[in-house]
Amino acid sequence: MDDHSEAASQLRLSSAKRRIDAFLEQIGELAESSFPHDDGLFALRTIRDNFVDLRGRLELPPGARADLVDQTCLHIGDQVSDYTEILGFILRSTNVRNPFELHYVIKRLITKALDQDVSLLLSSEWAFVPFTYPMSMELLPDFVLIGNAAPESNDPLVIPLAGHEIGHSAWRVFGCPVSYSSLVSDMVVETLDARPGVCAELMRQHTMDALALGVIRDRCSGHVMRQLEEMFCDLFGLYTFGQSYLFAYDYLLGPGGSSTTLNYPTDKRRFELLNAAAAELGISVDPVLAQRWTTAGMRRSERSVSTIVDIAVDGLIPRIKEDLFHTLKSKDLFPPSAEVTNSVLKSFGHNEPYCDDATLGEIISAGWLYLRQNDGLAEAEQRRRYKVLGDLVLKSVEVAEYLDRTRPDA
Amino acid sequence: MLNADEVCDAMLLNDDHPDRLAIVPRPDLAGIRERAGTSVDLRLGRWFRSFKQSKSSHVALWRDYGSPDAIAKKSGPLRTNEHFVRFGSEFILHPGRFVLGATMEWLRLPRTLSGYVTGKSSLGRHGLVIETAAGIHPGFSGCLTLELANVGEVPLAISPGMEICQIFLHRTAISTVEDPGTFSGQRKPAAGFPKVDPTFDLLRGGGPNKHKSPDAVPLK
Repeated sequence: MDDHSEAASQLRLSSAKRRIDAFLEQIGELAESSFPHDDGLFALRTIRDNFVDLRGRLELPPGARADLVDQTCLHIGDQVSDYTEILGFILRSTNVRNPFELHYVIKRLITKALDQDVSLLLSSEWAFVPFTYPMSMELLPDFVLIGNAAPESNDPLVIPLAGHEIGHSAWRVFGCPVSYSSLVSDMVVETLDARPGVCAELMRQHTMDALALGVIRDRCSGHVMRQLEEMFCDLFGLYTFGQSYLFAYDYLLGPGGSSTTLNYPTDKRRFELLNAAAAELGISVDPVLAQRWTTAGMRRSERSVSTIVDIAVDGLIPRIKEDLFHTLKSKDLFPPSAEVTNSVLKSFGHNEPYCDDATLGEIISAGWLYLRQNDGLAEAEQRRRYKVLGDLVLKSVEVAEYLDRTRPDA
Repeated sequence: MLNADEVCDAMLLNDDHPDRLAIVPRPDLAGIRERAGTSVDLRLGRWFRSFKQSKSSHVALWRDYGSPDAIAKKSGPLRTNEHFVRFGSEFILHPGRFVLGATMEWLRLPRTLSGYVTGKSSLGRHGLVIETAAGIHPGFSGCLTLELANVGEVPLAISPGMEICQIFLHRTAISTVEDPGTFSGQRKPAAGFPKVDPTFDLLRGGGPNKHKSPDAVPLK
């Protein structure tokens, strides 16, 4: 190695060390925050320990190979970049605008659904995606991260959408990608075979005739699997949160029309499938919710693929739905009861939290029903009432935690 | 003052009965009857509100229309910090310090009951003073804000879920005004801010239409 190259190695290594040191210093400051629950602090410690280990790997002997130095520094840069975002998420999880009362009941729901101990970070995001890492982070494999939009992070009525995000974890933990892969491939082949015109149109878009059919099948199968995962997550949210999932969905996505991609069913289509599933589960649906959904157009070049994907997804949804509902039932999880929801609603009508045991889905559904019965509580003179409703919902959630913690067999 | 049986009976009235007393989570009624006292113990909630150190020389305890500082007009949450303490954890109240807490229980009093809240002697003997504005009006709804002060000489640890105060209830002649508890209340401790007081404004020489109190006019 020449002198210049050795100097470049030293420069890169010292830069990487300073970046890690700054990152660790930031963690140290964050650790001084007031954490509402242990999970945030636990996440910080785990990240810190890993970065301390990374820092140690930068102590390379003089004359270390240039490609080893570059590769190590590249990895450090990626890790710092990826986990800086997570640090921001953890910091925002300490903001007192967050409804901390939800942590226990959501964690209980996840633990029951996934049959394993998980850590949960409930936070907020400035750029609302929504942000979710369904137990997919290398350093935090047992963490579920759920972020609400920052301005609405104090609103418990939007939390049913967390059901969708938990669904992504369930999709992995239940082993769905493996279970359904051959089913998806078979369905795509069958759908293509049954539509020779669409298949021919897709073949024309490819120049490598010999491989074209295989490429088309793989591409369609990938999109079908992604759409099935999204629908699986919607169905998970519907099953666990009941009609409040539909209300929250409408609140954030209505009237639809967001950009259409092949990896997502359209908002309108998702809502139609949810409505049908709700009927099967005996969940009553406000007919107003189904009104005036729109869909953005699909790009011309993708219409043929979209046709195949939509048909294949339609064909597989019943199986996915049946499997999911059966699995959740076997874990002693049930959709919100209409009877309990009405009791909670009656308590809210008396300006009281609910004093008996209720699931999160039942409490939040009652909150939405109260809102609907009172013209949406959106006018200036109703603001106070809307805030009180949020407090009644969260106090009812706290009562559910209180009852769970104080059960004789707890 | 209601005795133990009367308190329990008021809680067990039908949901729609106008004289029903609601305390949520519901206290142990058998325990109340067994003790045969006249009070109901309430537990400490998880939210606290402490006051920030600030560059302001003082806080005016009235609605100050003349203040150039918009925050001072509200004189409320913005000069305080909120804290959430989970079950199993503690809030340390140092000697001479003051913090607002709230009961874990949400109360709703019918129009026929009023009450007052006091500390528990077992805690007071260690220097923990609880509640100085003790009245609970008929129709009140929400969690009670507690004023917690350590007047003792050693730091005191308080923990959510512990019994922190007690309420006594009285029968009250029914007011003809609308039920003040209709959809009101909150789960967090409230610092509150002064209400509009036209008489005081006139006496002070300021008021909403003048925008400047005489004291606020700079001397040249």
